[in-house]
Amino acid sequence: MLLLNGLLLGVLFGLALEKSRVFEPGAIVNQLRLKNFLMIKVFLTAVITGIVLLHAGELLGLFTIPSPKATDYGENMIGGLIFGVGMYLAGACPGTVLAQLGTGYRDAFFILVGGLFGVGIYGLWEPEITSFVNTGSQGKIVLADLLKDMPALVEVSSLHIAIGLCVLFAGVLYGLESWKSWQQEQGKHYDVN
Amino acid sequence: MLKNKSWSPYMAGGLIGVVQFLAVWTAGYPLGTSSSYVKVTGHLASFFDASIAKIAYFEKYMTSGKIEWQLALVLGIILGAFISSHLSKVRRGDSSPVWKTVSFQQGSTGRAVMAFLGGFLMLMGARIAGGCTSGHGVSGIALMGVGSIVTVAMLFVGGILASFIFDRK
Repeated sequence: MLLLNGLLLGVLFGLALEKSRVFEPGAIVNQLRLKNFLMIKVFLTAVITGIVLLHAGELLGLFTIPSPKATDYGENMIGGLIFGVGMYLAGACPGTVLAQLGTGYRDAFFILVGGLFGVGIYGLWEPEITSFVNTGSQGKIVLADLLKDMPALVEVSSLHIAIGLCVLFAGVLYGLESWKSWQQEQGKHYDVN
Repeated sequence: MLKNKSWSPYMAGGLIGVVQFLAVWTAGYPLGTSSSYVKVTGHLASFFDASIAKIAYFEKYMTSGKIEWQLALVLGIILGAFISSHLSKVRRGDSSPVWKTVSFQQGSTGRAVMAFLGGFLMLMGARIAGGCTSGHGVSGIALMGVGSIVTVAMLFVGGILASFIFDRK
């Protein structure tokens, strides 16, 4: 049942990636060149919707919002940096390369094989690489935890930060859309430029 | 609607947010993809050398129920994109035109090498950081994790720097 659940949700995820064209190498590369903001638009909309629905689900008692991944500044910064360089060279990220594979981009196959080798080498040397980059786990901290040690004039809860983030991201989306419409960014044909 | 060639980023992003909600509610896991690469690599590699399945890092991912669900999710992404492009009758080429403007490699062999290298760095970086654009990005930022925000900020820094270095003008 759990596998069927994953497959169905994956189909919806793949559908959204394909329909928005954000999975295309052109959208990803040109986002990193700061020429096309389709990726940020899809991304921030997904985050805002996620924040709203996750909080609504928790309020309705459907589930408790899961904890985020643990923070380790060294691992997050160095890993993120290497990831970004690879994302530019590949024109893909670990999720979108699969959508590229599904739509028939041949190059996606080489990206995928490269990815499996990258994971393989990391897995073999994981203790060595970790001891080199890690700066000590901070635990599963959220933004609100950073404010705990500061002298607060007003009490700031995670809910306040969630609302603040949504307003901030919505403002960014409004600004980007006024600057360049999504229709312009997608262009008439496939293969976003 | 499924036959449309494209949707607005707001509709597509909204659907990803709904998928996130359904994932947490019905499966108990937030969206992510890069852990499933560890599982697949572990299984493929242990086919050649059985001792790899005993390495702690691989073993953790090869025996986790969460990663089995995630593997089904990533297979679904391939299928969903395939179905979506066929419904809208979009036939893309083997190679995206943008790849001709990235890096100094022009031929198809050169492109394959760069694609391999890009994939290698991308997944290794994602594993060092502990997640990807889905796990740290879509999920981690919605969960307001500090490490996820740092990772996504740095991946943009890395990607933007790379575009300065490797762009073919």
